[in-house]
Amino acid sequence: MAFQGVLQNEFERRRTANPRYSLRSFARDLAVHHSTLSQMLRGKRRLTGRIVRTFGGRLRLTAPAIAELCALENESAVLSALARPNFRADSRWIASMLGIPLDEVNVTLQRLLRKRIVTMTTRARWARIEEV
Amino acid sequence: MGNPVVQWQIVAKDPDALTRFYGSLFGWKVETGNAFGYRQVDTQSARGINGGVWPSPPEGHSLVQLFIEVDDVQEYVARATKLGATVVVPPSELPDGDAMAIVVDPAGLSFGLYRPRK
Repeated sequence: MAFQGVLQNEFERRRTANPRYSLRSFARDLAVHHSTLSQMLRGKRRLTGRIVRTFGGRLRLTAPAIAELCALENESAVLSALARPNFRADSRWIASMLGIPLDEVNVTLQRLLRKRIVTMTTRARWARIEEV
Repeated sequence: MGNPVVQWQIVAKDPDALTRFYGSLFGWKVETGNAFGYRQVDTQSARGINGGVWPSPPEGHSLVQLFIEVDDVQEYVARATKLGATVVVPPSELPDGDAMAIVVDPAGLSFGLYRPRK
């Protein structure tokens, strides 16, 4: 969600500076197909860490900014896994569901605990704080 | 019962590389068959304590933490806080039945409060 906002803002900024700047122009600059970019801008396609790192570089974001955006995308993905009816309190399961490396899942879980967004109240229940 | 130090934990940017390093150096065995895929390190000795390796976030740095056994994690977090500690990871019940919290002592060192599964 965070990087989707960055993309939307950057696209708007470029369009304001140049009214002829189109979605195809933006896609060309990011070296991605325009239909793929359109899906990303509309939130119809998940922005993985790899995409954030690739596009972040092309948008000349700083390394710390890219790292933080990757972390936020991972947070969003892990929270979506927690909301699944078949959720299992198991990092391996989350990693396999999301296609995120196991270590990144564990780092993300720790971030969510630190930020008091997620709580682990029983051995099988991990939940967003507002759901507790 | 007292409150023994029961485990050490290395938090590392490249946990696999570090695990290989200590495995090669000391012959320590690593087991990951748990819900977090946590790298539990067995030092292969009846003396001393075993440990584990946990990944550090990209912006973090490598460090070593000690885990101290308590009978009630919540209670010890409250006590530690009163004494000037800050809570990093609040008391959490782990999938294997253990409970833990991570706090930072007044000198800035983080450590774990750990209650083994009942």
